[in-house]
Amino acid sequence: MGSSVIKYAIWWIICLVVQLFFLNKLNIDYFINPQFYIFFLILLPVFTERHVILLLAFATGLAIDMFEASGGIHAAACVIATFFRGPILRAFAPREGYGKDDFLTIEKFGLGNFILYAGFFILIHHWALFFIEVFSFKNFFFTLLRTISSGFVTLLLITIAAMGFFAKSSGSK
Amino acid sequence: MQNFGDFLRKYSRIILLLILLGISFVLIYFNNNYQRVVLFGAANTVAGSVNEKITETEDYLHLREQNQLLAEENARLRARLLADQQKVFSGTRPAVDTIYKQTYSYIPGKVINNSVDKANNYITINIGTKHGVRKDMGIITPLGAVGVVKTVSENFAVCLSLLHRKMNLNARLKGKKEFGSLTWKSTRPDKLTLDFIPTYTEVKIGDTVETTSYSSIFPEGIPIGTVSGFKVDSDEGYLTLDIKPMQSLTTISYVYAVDYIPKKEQEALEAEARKGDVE
Repeated sequence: MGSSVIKYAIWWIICLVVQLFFLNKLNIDYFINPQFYIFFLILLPVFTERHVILLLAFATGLAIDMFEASGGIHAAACVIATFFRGPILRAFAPREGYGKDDFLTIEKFGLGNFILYAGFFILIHHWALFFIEVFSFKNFFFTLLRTISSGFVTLLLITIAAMGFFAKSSGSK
Repeated sequence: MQNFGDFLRKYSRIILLLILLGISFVLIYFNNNYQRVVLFGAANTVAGSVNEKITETEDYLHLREQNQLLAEENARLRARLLADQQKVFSGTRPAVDTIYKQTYSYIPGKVINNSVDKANNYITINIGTKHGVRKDMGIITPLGAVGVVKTVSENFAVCLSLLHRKMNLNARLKGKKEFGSLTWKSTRPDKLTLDFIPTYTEVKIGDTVETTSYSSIFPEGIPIGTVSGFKVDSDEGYLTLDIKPMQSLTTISYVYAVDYIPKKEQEALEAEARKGDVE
């Protein structure tokens, strides 16, 4: 238990560092704004206490906001997406359901289900993030396109990272 | 009481969600109201110094071109030194200190964080109140205007980039009197918009757009960009110009904060003149 807390703490830092000092420095395009850091929230074990995970989401978003001088937009988006994490996880549960103390592993989950789960999570997060950022529905399709194009890149990055993460964690067990 | 307890237990997750969202939106609200540095001064100093370290490292990669820019600017400034100029007419030499008064001074600083791909982009620079930076000072590079200071802490200042939806500057075509309002409406960092230029104004692609003397943020005549396209808004009788920024906003490194020395006096006078408008 103790060692897994340390493992997740390290991943929290890795996610933030990659986001803040690599992806955000790239400034790729208005429509390609990957938010890799939510990998941490996607990664958390299935049975993380439901209040704890909301607080973790808030802290993660707020950490990004501090560095980006963006008020609370990432915090809000993370909390909203994490609120729906439970239902999404249930929707894409493996046939035999989640066992107790289950970690999210691609093996157990299936790559397809993982992509669906991560995809929906990313979609909600990005949708909330970009609409809160512009704070209007004026250019609705513009922002929607931005959500989808950025979300796709995020999903790609997270899926690659997840394969690495799970490969390593199942190997070390 | 029993019921209330049940209610809390049943909906505790939604209540927590609403509390956290509430805090987030309060933070967003305060962020828009220029209070962020006050609220998170300490945390921001940490974020600021980490950013600064990272930028220091990145800077080594750009030393050559930055040197080039600074050398060019030095050359331009040197050419303006009185001693280096040929006297054209031999009247009495003006005594600089009694006829001219310095109205603008420049505080050099370095960009430590910058974005161009958000809906609202900010530039963080490594100078703050300690160096004399105040809110609403203009930020320029040797090539042109790039932003306006929004919030200041002791060692850092966060500036609205030209690529911010709330940015609105007076600008005019070089050599012409007609001015318009410069905003960012596109999604590209190389396309600003200059509205409200009267249709009778002659405009060519490539014309320079510069700051006017109508605000105390920038000195008059600081270049902002060049015209990259225009169209006539026939209903309104105005031209809408596409402007390509002079200083590419993706590559800003060294900047100056512009201090307009008699700003307080000017603004106090303007405020007095406007007194009574509201009632």
